[in-house]
Amino acid sequence: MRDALEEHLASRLGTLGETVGEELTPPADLELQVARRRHRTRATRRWSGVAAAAVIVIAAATVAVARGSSGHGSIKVESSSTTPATVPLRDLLQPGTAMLSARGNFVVSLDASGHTIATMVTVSASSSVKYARATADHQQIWYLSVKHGSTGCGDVVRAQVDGGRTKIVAPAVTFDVSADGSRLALYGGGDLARAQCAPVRAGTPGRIVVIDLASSTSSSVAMSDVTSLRWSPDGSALVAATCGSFDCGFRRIVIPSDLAAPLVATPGTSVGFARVPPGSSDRIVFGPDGFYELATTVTAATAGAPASTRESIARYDPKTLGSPRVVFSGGDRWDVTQVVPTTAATYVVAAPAASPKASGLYRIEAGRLAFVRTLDSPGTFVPVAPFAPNG
Amino acid sequence: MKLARPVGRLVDVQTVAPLAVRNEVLLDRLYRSHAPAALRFALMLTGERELSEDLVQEAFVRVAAKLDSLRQPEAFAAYLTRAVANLAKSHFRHQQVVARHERTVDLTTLVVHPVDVVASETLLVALRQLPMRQRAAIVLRYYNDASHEDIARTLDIPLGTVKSLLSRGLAKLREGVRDA
Repeated sequence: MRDALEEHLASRLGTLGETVGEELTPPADLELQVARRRHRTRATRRWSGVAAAAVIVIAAATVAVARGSSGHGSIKVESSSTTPATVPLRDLLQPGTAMLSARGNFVVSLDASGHTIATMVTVSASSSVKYARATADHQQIWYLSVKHGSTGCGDVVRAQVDGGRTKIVAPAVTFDVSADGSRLALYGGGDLARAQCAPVRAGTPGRIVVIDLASSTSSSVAMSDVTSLRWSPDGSALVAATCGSFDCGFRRIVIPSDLAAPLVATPGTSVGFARVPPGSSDRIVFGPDGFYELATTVTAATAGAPASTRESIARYDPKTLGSPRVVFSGGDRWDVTQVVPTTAATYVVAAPAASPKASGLYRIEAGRLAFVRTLDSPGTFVPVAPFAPNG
Repeated sequence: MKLARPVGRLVDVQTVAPLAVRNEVLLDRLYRSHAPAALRFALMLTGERELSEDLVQEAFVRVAAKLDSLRQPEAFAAYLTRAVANLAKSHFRHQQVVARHERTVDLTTLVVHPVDVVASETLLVALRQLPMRQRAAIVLRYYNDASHEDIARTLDIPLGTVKSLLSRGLAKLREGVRDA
């Protein structure tokens, strides 16, 4: 015999249950996911039969390889997939992948409706992935893994999507890899070209180092307060978001083909944005139709009104980074934290100013936000360009 | 449809199970049969739709991958329910570990999230503050009308533990509702 509370509980749970329909559409790659899991389970079982000594030896070897012991001291890795050039590449990301999201110690792929398709990368529980991007040929995912509590350098890691092999390529405070996977841009203190990174202290400039991964040639430029780096899709320029004590903006660095000369940075025509921590990667991004900046205008407090911030999203010419055009203005109704331009749509991570905890993924439609889905832990979204087998 | 109840669907699953992992159509059918109920269960445990969908998808992949080696393939729904409960428990445990390292995280957001209109109700908020096993037992008992024996089988715990979980869970719910 149930009492009043039990009856009430059953009733409320029933109501909650009614919010889920009778039909759920399976994810497009369900069979693939199951097959992968089966393969992994079988491999685990196989290995569990191996003697403990052998496991220790293998683990030690794996750690040595993963740590890239021979790589420290110089940075030289093959620039693209190990697949011979004569074999046509196939798209290794799941069909419908529109973006990646670095969340906690995972990198997941998502479709255009914001649903998770697959977990692409899992790092140690003691680390977080701050930024991840796929190369244009969809063969590799590069990411920055930072140990919890660290405010300085993390590991820039290259993961082969096929087979899951990973290699720590370099340490850096923040980074980006060119779309074809041939060049790496690193930011930090220390001698980054020799894989020695130090945190960038206040008042001392760090360096942006661009490395050609095939030849190991590099070139650099000193710059302070860099929060994120972005390669242009054609690899001809690098954009650095900077955020000093008083203002934020971006600088454009034209990248020469031979990296012989020092790099030169020119200030952009940024609207400006609020201070963000180093490694933040969500304020500037190249999309399929231009370069996007999530700008924040800060209005100082007056006698009658408190200070306020307003976000807007501007799209620039991808070649010149000029001719900004505002595609969305949040006004005082929206707090926007990320912009994710994809071929499917331009998305933002935003929350109504009235309920800042109700963060969600929205699509920009004619200057307004259309709800896509709620987000519990958004992470850092990065658009995925369409599959381009030749980079 | 409620969790693990419709006998007809269990029979259906028993028929297709040996082939499911080798046949996309049958796998699809298995998903359509069981995922909605699992999603309801996950939603009641977590209160978060997006998280629940992710948990169900992951749980389904895990259980479906082992379908050939399950001792009772006909009990797919029960295996799926248990996997969802275990994943939810792991998720919140991980969140708590992260929260300990990142002190800026508001712990209340781990159990209460303004996703659905009824989630803010005192009773459901109190439910989501229970330990995960108590939460799972309560949901199975009061949403699925599962017997103590069924709950024990589903969660793979002794019968006595089920009674204890339900008793303590209800006591905490009463306390939570009274204090609100």
